Amino acid sequence: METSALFEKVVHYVGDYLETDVSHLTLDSRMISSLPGMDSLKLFEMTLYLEDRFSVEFDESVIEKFETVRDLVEYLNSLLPESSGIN
Amino acid sequence: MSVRRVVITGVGIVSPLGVCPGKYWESLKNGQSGIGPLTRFDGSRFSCRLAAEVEDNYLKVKEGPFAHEVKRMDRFVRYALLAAEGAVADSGIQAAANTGDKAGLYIGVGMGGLPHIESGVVKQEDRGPRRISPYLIPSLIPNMAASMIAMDYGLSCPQYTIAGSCASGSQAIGLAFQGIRSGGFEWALAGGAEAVITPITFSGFEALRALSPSHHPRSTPRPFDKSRDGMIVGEGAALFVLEDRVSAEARGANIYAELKGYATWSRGSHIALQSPDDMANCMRLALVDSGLRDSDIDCIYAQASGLKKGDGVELMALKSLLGNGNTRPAITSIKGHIGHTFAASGPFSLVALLGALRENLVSPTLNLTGTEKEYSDMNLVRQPLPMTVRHGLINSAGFGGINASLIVSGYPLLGE
Repeated sequence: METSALFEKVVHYVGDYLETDVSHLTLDSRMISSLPGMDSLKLFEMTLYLEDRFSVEFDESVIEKFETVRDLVEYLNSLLPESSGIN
Repeated sequence: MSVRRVVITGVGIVSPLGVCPGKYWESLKNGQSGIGPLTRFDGSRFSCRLAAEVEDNYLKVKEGPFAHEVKRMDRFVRYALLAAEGAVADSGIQAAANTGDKAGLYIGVGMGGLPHIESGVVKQEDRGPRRISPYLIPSLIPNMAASMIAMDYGLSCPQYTIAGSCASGSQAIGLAFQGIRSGGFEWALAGGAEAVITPITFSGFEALRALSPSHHPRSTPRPFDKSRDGMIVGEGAALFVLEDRVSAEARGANIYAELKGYATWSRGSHIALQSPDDMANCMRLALVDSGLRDSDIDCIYAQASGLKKGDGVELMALKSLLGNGNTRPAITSIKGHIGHTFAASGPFSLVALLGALRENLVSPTLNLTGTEKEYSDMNLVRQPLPMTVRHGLINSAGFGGINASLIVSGYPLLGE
């Protein structure tokens, strides 16, 4: 349930960043191939955008290891404090 | 191989006077200025608080595979891209991937993405290096103007970025002209782009004592005027489709003018100040290239930007070129209307010259009331001047002692 709420937020912000509808995403969607025009530059910039939205800081070494949206959501979940209201 | 003749078939601009070349020319003729108070940043700490800015509402991004990237580009890239789209649409040329092997792409850029460099440094110091966007470097490197145009049209062709300071745009057009003339390719997109209205630009030019301290946008800058007190920073892009004349005529293209000659010449004796002898030599070489004489030239769109020394050097060079006996050519400048657009200034002068050739009228030098006594016999244009315009010269010059001159003739030429 908590993961689901966070997933909804992530989909919302990814759509904002890409300025396109990404409501087709599921937790199992591939990070690169499921997003229109996504490449490594966009992925790096998108993580900066998500850092600002969630007030977190990604470990640089994990970004390119996100294979699915679930990987991103679970990693974000691990960064968010209990009091964030999302966990 | 026979030497090809080169014509201009498309014009695209993004300017402080709008994005329509026709309206731009009307504004030049009517003495309308694109200069106003700085809005891009707070200019209160600078003596100069004026600029010739392009309106933001022109910065539309069309849908396409590179829309995301275009939005992240610095302004000079976006202006160049929009001007290219205007020029290609105007010419009607099929700038698709399958014609790319016949094309060349030459864009002059003087200072590249100074605004993004400056904002990047500020962000780095405020929030740390890891907060910098991966698009920072691609957005500011000078070649990205040409590269985004090539990507936009899927052009696979020679692609050149010319960084020759304020002569860059004229050099780009000249090199494209030479490429078509020698048979290297059939058509080219060429011109210049610049967009550096950012605090560090003002700091740098004020350190050079180059900016006008006047706060009156309707009376500054004053090219060639004896009370000139500096330039105003402008921005924009002007691009052209150049074509082999035979190919253009065969496809029924609308032809604006014929490029007849080009020269570039440098012998840097000072990092910021031109040499009148070398500037005059460049114009002479362009005339030789065109097969015309100075007495054939009807009008000259000069570099003059309102700089005390710089404009004086150009007046000396023009006097040397023309000799004391030839006071006929009408000499004018567009800088009073749109400020100094640096790499784009020569191309913007070319847009003006196309209007002059078409209408047999030379646009006035805005804010020019009277020049120094020793140049008072020169035909400096203060009011719209109706006259026969068959051949025109564009003079450009930049830091480092770089000069570039273009010779352009009407099409069809009267009497041809």
